[in-house]
Amino acid sequence: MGETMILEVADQRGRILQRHRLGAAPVSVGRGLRNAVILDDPYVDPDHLVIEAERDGTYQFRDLSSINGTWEAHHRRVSDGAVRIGTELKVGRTTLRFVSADLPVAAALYDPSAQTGIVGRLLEPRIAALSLALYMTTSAGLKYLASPDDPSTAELLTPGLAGLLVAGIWAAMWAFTNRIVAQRFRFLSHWGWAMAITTGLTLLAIGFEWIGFFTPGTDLGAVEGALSAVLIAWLLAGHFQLVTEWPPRRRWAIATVTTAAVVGLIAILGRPGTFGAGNVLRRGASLKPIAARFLPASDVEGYFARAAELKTAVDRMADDSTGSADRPAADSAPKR
Amino acid sequence: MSSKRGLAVALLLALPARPAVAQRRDETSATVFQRYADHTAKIQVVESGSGAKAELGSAFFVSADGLLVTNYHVVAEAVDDDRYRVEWLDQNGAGHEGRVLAVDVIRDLAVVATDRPTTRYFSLAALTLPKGTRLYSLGHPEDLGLSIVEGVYNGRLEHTLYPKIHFTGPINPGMSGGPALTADGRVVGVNVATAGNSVSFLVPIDAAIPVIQRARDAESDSGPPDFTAEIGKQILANQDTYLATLFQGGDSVVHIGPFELPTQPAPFFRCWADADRDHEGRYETVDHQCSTDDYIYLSGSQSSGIVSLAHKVLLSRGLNPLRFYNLYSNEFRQSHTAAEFAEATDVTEYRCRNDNIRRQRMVLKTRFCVRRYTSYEGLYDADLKVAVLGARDAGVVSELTLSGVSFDNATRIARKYLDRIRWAKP
Repeated sequence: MGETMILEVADQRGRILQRHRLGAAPVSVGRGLRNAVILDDPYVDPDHLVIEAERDGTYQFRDLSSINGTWEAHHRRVSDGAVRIGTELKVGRTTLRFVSADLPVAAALYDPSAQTGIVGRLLEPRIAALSLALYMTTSAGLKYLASPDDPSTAELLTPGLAGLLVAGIWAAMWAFTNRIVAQRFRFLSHWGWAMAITTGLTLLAIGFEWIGFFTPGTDLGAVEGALSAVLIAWLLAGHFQLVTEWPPRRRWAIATVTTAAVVGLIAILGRPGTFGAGNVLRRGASLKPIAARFLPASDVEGYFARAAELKTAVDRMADDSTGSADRPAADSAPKR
Repeated sequence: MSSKRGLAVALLLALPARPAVAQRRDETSATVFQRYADHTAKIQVVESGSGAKAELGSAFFVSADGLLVTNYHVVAEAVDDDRYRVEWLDQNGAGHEGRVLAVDVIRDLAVVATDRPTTRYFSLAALTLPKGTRLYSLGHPEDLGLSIVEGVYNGRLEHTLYPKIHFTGPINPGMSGGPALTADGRVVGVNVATAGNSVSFLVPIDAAIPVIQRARDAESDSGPPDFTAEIGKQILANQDTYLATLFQGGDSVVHIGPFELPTQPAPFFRCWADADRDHEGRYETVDHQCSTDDYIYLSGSQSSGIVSLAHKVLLSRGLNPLRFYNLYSNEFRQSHTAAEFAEATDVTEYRCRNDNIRRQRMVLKTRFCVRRYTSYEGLYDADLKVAVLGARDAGVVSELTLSGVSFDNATRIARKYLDRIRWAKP
């Protein structure tokens, strides 16, 4: 025996009001201000009960003839008894619970208002609201540019609102998860984050559209994909910092693996090998109203000279596809 | 609306069920039928494993040693796939094995050996007829038994890539490969296709004579050639001939908005135009398209020899340039030709080159894509797509599609095409 015990004081709703470490000295419990543990409960006597250490290191409690009494579990009124780990006593509307001092305690919760980094600041409701506004503006602006016929206000706002709704549902799900895990309901923060990610990826894509327009001969798809992946991984790792207690290495490892899986899946599904003329060109198809003299361009000779490599490429593909159909028999034959 | 318009020509394979048209009986029809029915045969392509019919057509005897002439598309399946064989049925409906000896994919003809000597065959000779001559077409429409169809010779088609006879008479699926003859038994052509409503087409009989000769040569030599290589050679030779004539003689150009654009590359193209000015007055679009009417049947999934071009001109009416270019980009992303002449196994994937090309005061955003035929070496499909950059209020997306051409021809025609895209006013 002799394990150090903690007295937890909880109110009617189970909220813990105070904790008290039990030692060798008697601990008096009551509403009176002379007590070691002062209970702010009108149904508790000024001097309600006392907890005393025995010589063998165990503890005993004794009710001091209180008006409303001391109750054990199963609604049994008691005047005294032994106190062990797990013992629960009811006095007035208050619960006294005895727990081990060796119980592990969770790490401190993350307080965004106490943080300086960008990740933390995104959790502030003010910043989150700003993120939503930025998303709506971007989305309405893009809708305006994409509509040659003058769109009505409703038409301008529809895609943005649809995006907000989808992300809102997503954010609500995570907010509930967060409520369970960390006892915080951070709906607005999650929403703001989702919109920040969406806006970020959209602006990145627009940026690359312009870069791609000015570098027509090069395929920047890989660079854009890599940058998007880095952005996603960074945001994931940042998110883990808020909702988990993983060390940095673990956060980044899981964020990287998750991103790689997502990017890999997208790469497989959107593989240019998928047949059809329709997918011949999606990327680099963006045109911009820039005067011809500012645009990089090669001459016809050069263009078609370099186009000769297309022949080599498709010839190799054709040879591979017909060859593979005939080859297995030859491959399995023993080499001489 | 960017679908390819024009004459929808269906080959006469007995696949879809269509109502057969009842024929008026008359004395001559009856006589022709009696006299020449036994000059014809039914051809079917049979799946070797199950023995089930895969395709059905008609044929006719052209020699005493029992050679049959039919369409290539009737026997195509058996030519490029070992799992199928050719069977011919005599007048009593008995089936016998047939051997394909020679093919002409360009003219859609094939010669099949029956190994049965016969006295009931047609002697072939080129002939000229006046328009309006009565013709009788024999064949097996919809597998309903040998039938005779009376119709009218309406001359050779003008402006067509491959010579065809216009026959006015309801020939139907299953009659492919059957003969069309005059009342006195001279074969004029081979049933090949219909556009519906009695507008039908025949392959002129003079095209069959060299194919029969090749069949004889093959028989006396070491048997039929490697048809895949042979077909590849035929397409290669053919495309060299007809592509040489594209963008020759005089500059056929069309002026739309500020652009001068190529059109009607050769007489055998058909062109259409369509303008749409109703976009709340913000912009206008003008479509202009040309396409060859004819194509070469290679297999059920692949056809070749099609050339098409399409321009879509966009003209801004005071639209903000960024908004106008959004519209323009969307047009550039879309395909304007109805080009899909093959399935995944027939061709490789496309490989493309994207770049800007500067010509005079013009920058052309250019994308040139090619894919190769997997079975036929040296044959490619090519797709050239161009957007003219530099004007804030006008743009054109232009696309040229070539199917079944050599790589050299593809780049040569693409360059000629690019050369013909200009600003209308210098």
